[in-house]
Amino acid sequence: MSDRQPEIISAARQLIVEKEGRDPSIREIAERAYMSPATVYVHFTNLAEVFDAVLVDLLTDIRAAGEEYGNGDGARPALRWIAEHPELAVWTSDRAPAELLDGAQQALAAFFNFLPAEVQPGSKPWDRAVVLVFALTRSLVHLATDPAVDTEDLVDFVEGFVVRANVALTDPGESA
Amino acid sequence: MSDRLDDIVRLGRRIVAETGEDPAARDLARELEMAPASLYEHVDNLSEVNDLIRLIVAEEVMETVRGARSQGDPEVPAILDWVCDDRLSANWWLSVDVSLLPESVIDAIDDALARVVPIAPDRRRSFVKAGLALVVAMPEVTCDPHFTRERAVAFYEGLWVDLCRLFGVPT
Repeated sequence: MSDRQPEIISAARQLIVEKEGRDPSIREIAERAYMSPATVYVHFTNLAEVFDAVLVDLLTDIRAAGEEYGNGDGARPALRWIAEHPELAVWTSDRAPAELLDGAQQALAAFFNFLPAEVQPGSKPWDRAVVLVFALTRSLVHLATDPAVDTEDLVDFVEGFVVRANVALTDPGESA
Repeated sequence: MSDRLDDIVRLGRRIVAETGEDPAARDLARELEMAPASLYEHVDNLSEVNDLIRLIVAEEVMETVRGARSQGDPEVPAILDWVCDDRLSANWWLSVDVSLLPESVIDAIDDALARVVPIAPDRRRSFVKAGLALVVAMPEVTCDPHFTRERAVAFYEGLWVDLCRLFGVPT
């Protein structure tokens, strides 16, 4: 990562929060990072590459939240992260699987370690898995911030979803 | 709703089914043989038309649920059939950001839902928002020939039961 990439990623994250989950433009990101759009393009090829770096950064945060909680907490760290960062969760869930670049695909693959082993980036089951998990994420933005929903029940709901997705996505006869 | 507005919305519904896109003012006006400007004598803006179409589509889905029940058939396969038969409309409907839907649309879905799901009134809105977000992948998953119908039905039936349980709805 170049020395200015973290500034750009941070600027993009701030803007996503301010825009309530909508994409910022290169111009907006550059302005927030106190640089010209041309400078952004020195460090990233295009906007998609910036967004991929943001996604990887967000996944790193969620993982760190998990480590903070310790092992064996299941979905709790991710749920807490979603409740605390609804705009970023909405933005994440809006990513189209097919448009994610390699870096984000690999980061997601490491993150989605609950999926069947054969579900790997570049395959149809992978695209479906990402769509399903992103739909769950979008739903959890509502559920995790709903005071009437019990956290333990929500953990059970997420874990049930994961089990069901595994069954639905596991198909040894299917190829990419 | 005035007769002319009714014509506009019905035509818009057909365009959504055929194209999966928001109806354009020029297309609506051309088909109804009126000047585009005249369209706005009947609606304030096209978002209003889209919201009314969303209500019609939501009613169609609820009608599908009621129809399946009246035949003693399971609901989820009936909904999946509706999605596959009218995939463009389903994709169009679900492409909207639920949190940006006008309160009137959420209210109407809420009312329609109340007629088919025995959920506490103060929990319906949250149920609608969470449920709509969850089914956003339904057209892609259901209509994908690699994702067998049995898997899709099992997946969404399980999801429905879990969502109902989360909201204390008997299933």
